[in-house]
Amino acid sequence: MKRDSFADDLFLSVFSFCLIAAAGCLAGLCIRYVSSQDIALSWLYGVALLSTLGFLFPFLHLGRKMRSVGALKGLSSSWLSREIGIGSLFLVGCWALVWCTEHHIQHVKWIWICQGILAVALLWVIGMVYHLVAQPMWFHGSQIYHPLVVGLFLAAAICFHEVLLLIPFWIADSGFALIRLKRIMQFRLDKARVFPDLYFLFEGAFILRVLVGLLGLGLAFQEVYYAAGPIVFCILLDRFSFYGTAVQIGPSEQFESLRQKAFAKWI
Amino acid sequence: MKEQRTFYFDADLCMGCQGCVAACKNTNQTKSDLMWRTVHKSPELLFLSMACNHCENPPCLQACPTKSYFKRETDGVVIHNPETCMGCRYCQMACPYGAIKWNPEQGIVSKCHFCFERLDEGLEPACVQTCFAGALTQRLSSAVKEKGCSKNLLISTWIEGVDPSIRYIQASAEGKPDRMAQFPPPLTKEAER
Repeated sequence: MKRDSFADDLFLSVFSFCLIAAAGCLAGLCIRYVSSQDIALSWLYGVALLSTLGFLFPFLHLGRKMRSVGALKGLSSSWLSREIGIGSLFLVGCWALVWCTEHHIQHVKWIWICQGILAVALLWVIGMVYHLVAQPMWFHGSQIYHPLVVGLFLAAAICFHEVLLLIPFWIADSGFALIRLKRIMQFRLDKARVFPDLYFLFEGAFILRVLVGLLGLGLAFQEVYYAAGPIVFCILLDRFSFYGTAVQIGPSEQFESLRQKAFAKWI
Repeated sequence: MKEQRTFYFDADLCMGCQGCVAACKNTNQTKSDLMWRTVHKSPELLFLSMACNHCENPPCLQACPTKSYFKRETDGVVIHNPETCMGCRYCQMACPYGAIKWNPEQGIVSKCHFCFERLDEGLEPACVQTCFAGALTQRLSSAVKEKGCSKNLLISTWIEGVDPSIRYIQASAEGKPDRMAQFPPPLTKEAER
């Protein structure tokens, strides 16, 4: 049951980081466009490139890459399939917006609104993908909403000009991070950790993630959009620690735990 | 689905010979380090032989983005189609029993399919047929009196909502069933009908 290495999960963490950052960024840009039509093309290019990069990484980890076209067959039941479907639409929409902005095409408000809705849906679906009964570390309500909250935190940093508006998002993000911390501590000494050797690295990344979030809020007091950089870094660290602290409690792990307990008793 | 085929495992009879593991490998010609069935050993020297539990609501089937899993209408056996699998390994993450194995050479996953070709010919699965101790058996769930069978043994394997198709017969269980009465003579097509 143990996964071979963190390499596969690294691809996934980069994938979900890119999508969360791109979706959060685009949600913020969408609100900015609808309210003031003030959009820098460089930001849009950044979002489009980030989501394109995001889609390249999971493709690399597939065992049979040519069969990836069939990934939309499971839309009715699989959250992964839905994530790929919504993510693909989002990617196409990003490049469509780049093209429209570059060619100064007017009246694209509806594309912006649709893309904003897709961005929020994508953030929600990313949370649902990891809501698996076999993954006790992730099988918790907070894990569904966390990508959405952190994405909206980034969106708020991009679209708002008032630092006070950022504080509720920071509080929500920190609250979810505390729940995660509690769960990390719960499974810390468990033999069921998927990557036990690198655990200190993932825990370190998690602590750093909380500190970077705090730094983001601090920078927002200087200029609100300064917070965007630390929040993006915070998302990267968050996904890294999210995959790294995974736990699986299958029969092998449960038997190993029984053996450890028996050994401790014998000592 | 008409009925669910279920594994029955008696820990009192299992001696941990790993015959079921070897039979599974021989029949399905899997790679040396790729084992669909595993025998776990407890500190009290009790053994538990487990492969895919062919759950009534299989998480792998729900998770698969390419719809590479299907559940047979006739007996609820969960089968993986290697022709459409893209090797994303999401089903491995979704399976609570670690029953889905990664084959790095083929770049896809694989798992126990309950020897469905043998079942269709009226034969027992290889693991069941080879278990000379009679610890591992299988039946359609309607053909067995569930009294005396438990859903957990030593460890908690039962997950509500997933409903794995494996039952255990424990020495400590009250009203332990008479095995001969519970598992009548070997499976044949006629008997199934």
